[in-house]
Amino acid sequence: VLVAGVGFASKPMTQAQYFTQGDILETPARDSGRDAYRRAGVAPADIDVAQVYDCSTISMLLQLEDLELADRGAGASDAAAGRFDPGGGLPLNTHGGLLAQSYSVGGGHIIEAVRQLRRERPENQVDDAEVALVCGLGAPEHATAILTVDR
Amino acid sequence: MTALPNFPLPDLLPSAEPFWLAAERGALALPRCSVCGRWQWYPEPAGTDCAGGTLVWEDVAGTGTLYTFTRVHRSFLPGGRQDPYVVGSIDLDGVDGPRLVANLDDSTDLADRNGRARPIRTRRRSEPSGVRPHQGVSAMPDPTPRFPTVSTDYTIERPAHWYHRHLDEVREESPFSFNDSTYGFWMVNRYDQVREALQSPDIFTNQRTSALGNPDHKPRLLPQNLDGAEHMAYRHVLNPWFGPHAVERTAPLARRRAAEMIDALRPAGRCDLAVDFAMQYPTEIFLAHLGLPLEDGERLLPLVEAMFRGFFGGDPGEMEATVAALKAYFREQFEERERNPRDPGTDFLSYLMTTEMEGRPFPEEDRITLAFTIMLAGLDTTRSALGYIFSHLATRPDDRAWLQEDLTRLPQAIEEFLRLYTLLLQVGRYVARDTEFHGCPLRAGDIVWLGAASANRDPREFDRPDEFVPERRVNRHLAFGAGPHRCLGAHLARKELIIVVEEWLTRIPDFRLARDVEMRERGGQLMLRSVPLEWDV
Repeated sequence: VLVAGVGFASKPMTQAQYFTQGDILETPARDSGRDAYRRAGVAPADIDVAQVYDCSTISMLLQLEDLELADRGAGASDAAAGRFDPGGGLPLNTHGGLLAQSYSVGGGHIIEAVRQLRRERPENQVDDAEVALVCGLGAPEHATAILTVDR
Repeated sequence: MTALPNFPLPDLLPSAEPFWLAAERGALALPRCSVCGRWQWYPEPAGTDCAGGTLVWEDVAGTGTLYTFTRVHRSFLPGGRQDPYVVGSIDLDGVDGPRLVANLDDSTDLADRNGRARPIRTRRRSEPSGVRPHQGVSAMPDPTPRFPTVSTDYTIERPAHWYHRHLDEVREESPFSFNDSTYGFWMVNRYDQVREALQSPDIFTNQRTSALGNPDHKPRLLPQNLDGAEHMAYRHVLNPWFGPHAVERTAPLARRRAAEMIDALRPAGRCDLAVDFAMQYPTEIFLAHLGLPLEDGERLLPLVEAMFRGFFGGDPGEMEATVAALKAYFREQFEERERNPRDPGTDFLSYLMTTEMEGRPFPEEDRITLAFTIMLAGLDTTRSALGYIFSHLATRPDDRAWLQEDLTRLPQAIEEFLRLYTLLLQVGRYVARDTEFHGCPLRAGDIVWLGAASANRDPREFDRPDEFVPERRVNRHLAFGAGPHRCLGAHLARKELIIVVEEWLTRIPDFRLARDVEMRERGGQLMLRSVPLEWDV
C-alpha cells in the first residue's frame, strides 16, 4: 500500500474558539482534503472506500461534505439513502468506526484502509478497492491521507 | 418556567471567578485582552490571541441573538435526568467574536432564530438554587432566599458519633441547606419538614432513594424505586410476609439462634460484636424468615459485606460484581424451585413465583430484584443497630440495670435506641415538579436529603433529644421512615433487636467496652466498625 498523498490544515484559532466562533459548519477538512487529493493526483470521485474520523454524527457529515465526498448539505440524506453502506457508492468506515473500535482515536481507521487495499477483509471487503481515504479531525486541525494499492 | 438540568457543580477556577462574581451582581461579564482588545471566551489565565495581554473583565449587555440550538434528549449527566434540555449558542450584543454556550429555557421561542434572546441571568455557586453552572436565558424567578451551603462529605468514615453531633449544628443553623460535596442536593433536617416530605410522595418521588453517591452506580431497588399505585401494589403483595403475624412465626427460631450464638461466644469473655455476631445473626434470621437454607449464609455473608462496602463509599466496581453475584444466587434459587416446587406458604421465593400482582405474575427479573432488595434492606441495618445498642449498654450500666430490672421495658427502650442512634442519615428523594417547600425553592429534578437522623434529634419534637430517655412515652421517630415507603421490615427488625438484647442480658448481664479502643463509624448509613466487648467469665 502506497501513501499517495497527505494534507494537513488548521483553522487559525484555539480549540475554545473553534467551538464558539465563526462558521461552525466549516471544518479544516476542505483544505487538508484538497492538499491530499492534489498530491496523490486523484479526485474525490476516485475514492473507492473512506475511513472518516467519526467522533460524532455531525462532525462526520461536515467532513464528508468538506472532503467533497458529498454535496454541501447532502451528507445526511446520502447516508440515509445508503450511499455509504457496504455495497453503496462509497463504503464508509467498513470496520464499524470509533463506536466499534473502542475509540482508538483513528488508528483503527488507518488499519482498516490498509486491509481494504490489501484485500484482506474477510467481510465488508470492497471489491476492487484501489484508492482509500483516511482522515482525522482534531479541532481546530484536520489531516487527510490518500492510500493506493502499490503496483 | 422550565427547570434546568441538575448539573454537577463547576470547579471554581481563579480564571473564571470574575464571571461568577459578576453573576452575583446580576450582570454578565466577559474578559477581553488588554493589548489586542479581543474578547476571550472561555476565560483563560491570559489572552490567547496575541499572547501579550492580560485579561480585563467587562460587563456586557446580557442580550443577544440565538445562533443555533439543540435539544438534548438523553442526558449523560449524573442523575440520569430524563427531561430534554436545550443548549444554545448565542451571539452576544456588543461582543465581537465568541458566542456564549448556554442553557435555554425550553419555553423560549426557539423557532425564531433571529429573535432576540431575553436578558441573561446567572447565579453564583454558593447560592443553593443556582449552583448549576448555567447561564440561563430565561424568565427565571427573582433570586431566592439564601440557605447555607454545606460541603460535608457524608460518605466517609469518622470518629463514632461525629455525624449526629455535626447534624445537630447543621439542623440548628437552618431548616434547609444545600450540599455541594458531590452531586448537589438539598438537605432537609428538621423533624416536621422531614416527616411532611416523606408523606408527600407526589412531590418527593422515589426515582432516587439516596442523596449520596454516584447515581450512575445505584442498583435498581424494588419496591423502593417505585411510586404511587405501582408501589402500593408491590407492598400489598409483600406486606403479609413482614407483618407482625409473619414475624411471630420466625420468632421462636430467632430466639433459639440468639441463645445458641451468645452461648457460643460467652466462654471467651470477649468478642467484637460488630464482627462476631451482628452480621451473622441477621443473615441467618433473614434466610430463615424467607425459607432459604441457613447454610447459604456462609456463601452470602462475604458477598453482602462486599456489597455494603461498595454501597457506602467503596469501589463501585466491587459493588457491581457482588450485586451480580447476589442476583445470580437468587436466580439459582428460583430455577431450583422451577424444578422442585415448594410450599408458597412458607417459602418466600415460591410465593413470589406463584403470586400475581394485578392479574400478572412477577417478571423473573423483578422477583430477583425484590429478593435482593429485601436482603439489602434488612441485613446491614439490623447489624448496625445492634452495634450502637451494645456500645451504649456497655458504657451505661445504669441503663442496663434499668432494663434488667424489668425486661418488658425492652420494646420501649428499643424505640429510644432507634431514635437516638438513627443509622439512616438520610432518605433521598427526587423532586417531581417545581415547588416551594416551606420557603425552599425546589426544582423538578432536584435531589433532596431527608435527614432522618437529624430529625430524630430535633429539639422541636423531642425533649432532651441527645439523651437516652428510657421513660420516653411519645416517640414518633423516623428511624423507619414515614409515608408509603415506611420500612417494610420494621417489625422483623424490632423483634430481632428485642430478642438479641433480652437473650444477651440474660446470659451476659455485665459487660464493658474493651479499653483503649478508638470507635469509628462508617458514613453513608451509619455503622460502628468495631464494638469490642469484654466480660468476666
